[in-house]
Amino acid sequence: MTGKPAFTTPVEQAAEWVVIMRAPTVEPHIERRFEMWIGADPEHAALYADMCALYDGEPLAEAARLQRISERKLANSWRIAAGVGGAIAASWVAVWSLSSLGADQLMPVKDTPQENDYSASLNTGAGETLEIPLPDGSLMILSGQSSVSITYAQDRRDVVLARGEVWFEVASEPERPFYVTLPETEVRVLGTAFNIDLLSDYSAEVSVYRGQVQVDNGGRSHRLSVGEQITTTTGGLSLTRFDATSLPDWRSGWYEAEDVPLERLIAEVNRFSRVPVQIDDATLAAKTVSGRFKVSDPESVLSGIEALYDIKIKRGKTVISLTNSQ
Amino acid sequence: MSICRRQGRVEPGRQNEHWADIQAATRRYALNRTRQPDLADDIAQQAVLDAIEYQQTHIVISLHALAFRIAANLIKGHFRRLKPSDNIELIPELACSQPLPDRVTEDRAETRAMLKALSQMPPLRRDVFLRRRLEGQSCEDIGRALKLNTKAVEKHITRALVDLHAARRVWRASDDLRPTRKEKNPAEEMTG
Repeated sequence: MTGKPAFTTPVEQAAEWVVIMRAPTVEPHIERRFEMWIGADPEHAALYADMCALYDGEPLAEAARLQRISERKLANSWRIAAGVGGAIAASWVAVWSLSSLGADQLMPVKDTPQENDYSASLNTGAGETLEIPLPDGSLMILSGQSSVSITYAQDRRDVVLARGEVWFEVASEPERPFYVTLPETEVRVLGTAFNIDLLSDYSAEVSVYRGQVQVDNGGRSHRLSVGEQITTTTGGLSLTRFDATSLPDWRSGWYEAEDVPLERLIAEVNRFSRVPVQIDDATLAAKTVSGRFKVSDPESVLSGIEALYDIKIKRGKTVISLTNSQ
Repeated sequence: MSICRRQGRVEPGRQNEHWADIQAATRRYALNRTRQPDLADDIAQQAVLDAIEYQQTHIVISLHALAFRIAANLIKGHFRRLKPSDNIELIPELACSQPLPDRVTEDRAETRAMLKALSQMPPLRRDVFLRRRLEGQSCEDIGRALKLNTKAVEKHITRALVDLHAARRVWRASDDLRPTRKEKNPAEEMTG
């Protein structure tokens, strides 16, 4: 809607605004024009609400999935007839038998070439989470303050995690491996569900919930199985075990801390806090805390630690700062 | 962010009327999404309260856009908590808002209406729309993949949305004739 409006009826305009306002970036002058349009007439606001609800709603998402599945079935009907029960089911089989069988016999249904290439860059703000269903049937869920870019090519699938924390459920395609690249670390996905928490530019935590992943960091490599968690730092890799039967904490808005540095807890809080929280004191940052914190409600965490540990909290408009109370 | 967290009402102020408009639009969105009037009230009120709080410390160009974004996140959080795999501790707080069987049935009927509309679209319009909505590709990416300019991609998606909107209104109109239906959907009152 940069030039003359291409659409004239309010219904068309509402639809066009949904398209424009859902773009990854909206320029300020466009957003200002949107606010003028929507405020101009109650009918505009009502139509925009309906159109957004239509666009965001589960019924349309479900219909879109079903539509794509039926298109794919048509394109691959000869394979379906041969007894392969669909792309995802086939890839699960491949995951379990990767080590013992030649992967070739178990190739999942191949998509048509134009569906193989795909790229996207996605960011979330504080407190947002974003579910990203990918064309190969994989799923990524971004936690707040996270940033990824995705590139799918014929022979490999790449995700670069620049910031934040992501849950992955990867559909295995042995001939098209799935890689996650972090600063100084590469994770090769052999199996399916795992979580990566990029703690800082030089440290990341990879946790495997299903299947296997391989972590390569500075020449060292380690294959992780279910229930294993690796923390990469410049010093190397450290392996721990965790309970893989429940989802990662952030997916429920909780963070389970067991003797972790305060700065780690605050990093989790910052994924949700609209006002950034900072620690103004290095010894305080290193102080360890324990407990179960609802990080999706930053204020509850702050008042909790304020009471439990000797911490003074200064709540400013643009920043919340923590200091030792002594 | 819990929907039931704060109970306070929107405080009267300079922009009271403006906020009331935003709350009405947000409620309409939430009701369309959840089909539960009480829940829609809570979500709209919370969205406006959060938006008021947010704009005190941030520069906000479109308050409508902000309130819709917050409402969408609240609804996402609400649905996520209803999934069986989720945290059991959170369930008592939400006992009031389990999905009603009626809602599930209505969602299925709406899915069928949407699927029908999708299948009747010209193939290019449908492909462009699915790439954006289902596969999350940006308009620029779609343009590159299909050798279209970005404006053309936006137009295809807009037309697809108009088609789907029309199908949804036809479906709602027939749905409203059912004798068991208790509450008339406000979508019809305002745009019908």
